[in-house]
Amino acid sequence: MIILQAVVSGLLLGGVYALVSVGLTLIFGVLRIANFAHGEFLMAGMFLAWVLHEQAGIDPYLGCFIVGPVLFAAGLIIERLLIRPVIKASHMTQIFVTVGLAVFLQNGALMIWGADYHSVVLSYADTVWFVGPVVLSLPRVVAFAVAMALCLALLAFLRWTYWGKAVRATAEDREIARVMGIETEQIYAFTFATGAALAGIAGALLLPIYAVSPSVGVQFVLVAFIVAVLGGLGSALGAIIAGLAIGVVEVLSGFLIAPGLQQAVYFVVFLLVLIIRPAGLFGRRGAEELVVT
Amino acid sequence: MSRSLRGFAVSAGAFVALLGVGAAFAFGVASPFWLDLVFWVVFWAALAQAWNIVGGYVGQLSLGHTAFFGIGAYTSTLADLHWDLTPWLGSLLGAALAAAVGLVVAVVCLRLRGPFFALATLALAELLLITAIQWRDLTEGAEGLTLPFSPGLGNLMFETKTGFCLYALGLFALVSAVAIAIEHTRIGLLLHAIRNDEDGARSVGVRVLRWKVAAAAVSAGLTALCGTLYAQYLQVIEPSTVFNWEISVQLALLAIIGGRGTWTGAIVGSLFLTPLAIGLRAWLGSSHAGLHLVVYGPVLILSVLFIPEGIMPWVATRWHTARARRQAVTGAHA
Amino acid sequence: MVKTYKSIAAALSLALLFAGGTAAAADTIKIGVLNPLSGSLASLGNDSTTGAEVARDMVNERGGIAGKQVEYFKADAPNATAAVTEAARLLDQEKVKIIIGAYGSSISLAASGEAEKHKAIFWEMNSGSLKITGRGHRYTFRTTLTFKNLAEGAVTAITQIVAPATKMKPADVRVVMMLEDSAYGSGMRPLLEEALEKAGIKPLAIEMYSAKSTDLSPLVLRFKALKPDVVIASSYANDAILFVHQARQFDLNFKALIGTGAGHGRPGLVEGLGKDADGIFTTGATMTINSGGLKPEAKALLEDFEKRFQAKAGHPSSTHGAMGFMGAWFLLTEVLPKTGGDTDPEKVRAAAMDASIPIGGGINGYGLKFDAEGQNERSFGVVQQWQDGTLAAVYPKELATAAPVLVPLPEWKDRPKQ
Repeated sequence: MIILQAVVSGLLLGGVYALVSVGLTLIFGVLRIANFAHGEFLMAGMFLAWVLHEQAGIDPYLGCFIVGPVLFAAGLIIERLLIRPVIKASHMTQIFVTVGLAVFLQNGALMIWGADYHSVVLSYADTVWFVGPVVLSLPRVVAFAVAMALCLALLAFLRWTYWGKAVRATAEDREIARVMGIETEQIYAFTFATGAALAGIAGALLLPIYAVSPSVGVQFVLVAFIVAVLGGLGSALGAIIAGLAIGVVEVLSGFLIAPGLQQAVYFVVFLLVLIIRPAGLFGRRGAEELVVT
Repeated sequence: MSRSLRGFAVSAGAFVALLGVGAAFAFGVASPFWLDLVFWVVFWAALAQAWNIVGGYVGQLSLGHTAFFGIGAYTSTLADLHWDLTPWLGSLLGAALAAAVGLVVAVVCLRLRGPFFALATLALAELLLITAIQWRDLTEGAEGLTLPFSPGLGNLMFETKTGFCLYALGLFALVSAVAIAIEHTRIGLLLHAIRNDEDGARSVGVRVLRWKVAAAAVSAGLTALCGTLYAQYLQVIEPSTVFNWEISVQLALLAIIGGRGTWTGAIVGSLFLTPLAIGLRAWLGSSHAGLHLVVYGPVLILSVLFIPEGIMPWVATRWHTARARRQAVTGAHA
Repeated sequence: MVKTYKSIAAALSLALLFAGGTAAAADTIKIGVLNPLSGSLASLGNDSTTGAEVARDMVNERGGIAGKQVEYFKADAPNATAAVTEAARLLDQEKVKIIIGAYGSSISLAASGEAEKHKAIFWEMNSGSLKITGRGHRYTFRTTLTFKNLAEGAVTAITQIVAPATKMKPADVRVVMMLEDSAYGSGMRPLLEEALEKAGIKPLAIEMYSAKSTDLSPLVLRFKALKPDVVIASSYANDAILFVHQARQFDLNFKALIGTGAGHGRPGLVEGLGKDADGIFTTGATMTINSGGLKPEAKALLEDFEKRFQAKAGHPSSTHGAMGFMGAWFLLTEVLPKTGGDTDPEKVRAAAMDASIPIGGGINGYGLKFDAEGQNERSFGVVQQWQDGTLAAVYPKELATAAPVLVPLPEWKDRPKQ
């Protein structure tokens, strides 16, 4: 029965992973850029939510409504200034631009807020629900629910709205998309900003569970990539499913093998995926060839 | 990059001159603080050069080179502590081990392009970090290892920093010699072809995978030698220091900013950035924590945005353009 | 050659940068202070430096040492590599002959190694790794306790407090350990195992985990299956808080939770846990001992220190701030006066080996007596417990400010919600 608990805990954790990764995978699918600064967007959202709580008493869940738009705007600016110029540049250039951004953001946060961890104490943070033998902690359930809601909304958006289809079209073949009249530049900006916003909201959702510090981003960016690759870079649905899967794998292996090795397991999974099927679960075969069309 | 005899002579000349300048600094500077700076400049240049072999000449972006660095540091240190093995041999052992790992990684991952390969190398390095922490019977875990300070040439440990600077210079010379050899022989041409158009190269019979794997193994081995150098200099290593992704980023960065694919790029990169980092930290670190790294980020972004090919190639292009312009104007052969 | 020009330019600019730093007043007593001031260890590193600065301020206000003012040169060493460079800079450029510091074992190891090569004094005030004084250095001294003291303190809490209060024999107490997997937890592990063995206790589980985990439920669930009486934890701040939260959520009950300093000894614990922090034990150096055991001047100094630290740092002192103060205080008031303010390493060494303060003589109850390896034999860990949001010393009795409470801890269902 404890295994059931582990699986449930894993799913709850995985929901947040999914939210962080879905933005990353979209950015990759559309802009063909591996955004190494993605974790820092999460960190920025988390800090913003914390500041809002400390200074204005705003509950982090409500803070999401501010964090989302702020990170979206920041994403637009960053995309225009840093990403657009390197869209057609070599992989190395792109990677190092985002790495440079990550270094800047992380150390900027360090300079402003110091290296300390900061947590918020919320009256409801320790509330738990009992469903049979399983214990559900309120903040984790809320984080999961909001994350999943946003992911599903994103899927719906991609499938049924004009903009969503435009995004998918650009991801599939940007030249043809342009020929068909899609303003690809706008799509790039929108996608990147959305990715940033989703990561930021994930950060805000994590605040009741976990303390914020400048190094928080680094922890999440690797998992985000692993999830994105496992799901298939570019596939939002893939990222969602893979996120849940990785969450379960992590908690289960921590419980069954050893807590110290729970990260090792998903690195091994990652390497196996890259070796055996780099396209991931839902990615297009040969996507790893990265020929930009 | 030229294969002409003249090109080689220029490179060889510059190589010897650089070593001369380095040695002059090593012997001439008395202050341990400045010697320490010289050491780190040469150290990072050697590391960046080692990365260059697979990152520059072959064009595969590895973000996991710290894995090889750590393997080198731990192998020679453990061999010294447990078997009393001299670091001369211990470093070779570490290099061999790293080269083997590099070979396997290459064979398995090299069909991955761009970010996929980079991510794979990152994951590998993280995996090694976790292994080093968890496998306490082997590595004594996160506490790390310390080497007793017993100076002597046989121990590759030196009383003064001058000795260490010479050690670093020697290593740098070795790695650069490999790089120069690549640049000025057929190998360089092959790797260049692979880097620019892999499928095209394959179609004319170049054994792409073989060369990539060889380059990866060589690069790994040389990086491991630098790991041993680090262990000998600091005499204390721990997993989070030698299996640190920041090292991977740093050494690639230096090569890229200096100009990858050129053997002088690593030196320029290190000469430019290492004193900057150390100076910023000494100057600002005590008053504003983290400021030096905040500056680092934009420096990286700007150089990658505006001089993507790196400083040395940029300089070389300007030089050649200016020369061509002069020739056109005067009509003379320079 | 471009490279030569560049290196000359680099050297010149650096020289200019440093020109400003060495214009010190003549005739001061120069001491280097090396700590991680940026990076992941920064918050406690800063505390240590701040504590040392308070000591300097207080000494200077009293006229300094032998009529000379004490001057510090601060250095930021976020990791071992930087530690070597910064130590070399302090010794070479600022020409100090004593360096005090440092929080973070590898930083201390690297910096003290560098100091020893220069034949300069390294005065360790914070790090607990045994290796620091275990390498046969002539000029390295440590004023504070080691990881061994912390481990023994934790086990003492079991044998002297928990076992008697729950009427159990120590050997029957079911103990599990959770250790974060960096140098701290890793270093504590063999020492805790040794101390437990001496007490005749066999731990049921020893789990290493990453302090950066966002979810410790695997750990909590594993422990729950073992039905432990006591949890010993070597954690940093965030994971310490996370564990207790999740223990409550998953209804993992235990009679006592004993931390070994670090995360369990910081005010942040109460920030993150509120009333759930009450009852948690921790071992370490502390300033809040029964000041009835102190001489009146020591009591006054203690109050003065706390006020000044709060004013300088904007938050109350942590254990490491206190250790930084203590270490610097011992150096400035006990050792250097013996040399007349001369920082010559041989003279300082002789004075240090000569120094003797009985236990209870230092502000936190420490004494001062260096053994042959430079370790202060008269440092020890006090067992403390969080009571009503503050740390009280509970063992040994002579230094205790309160009796232990909440042993055994009530089950989560019986504890009030926040």
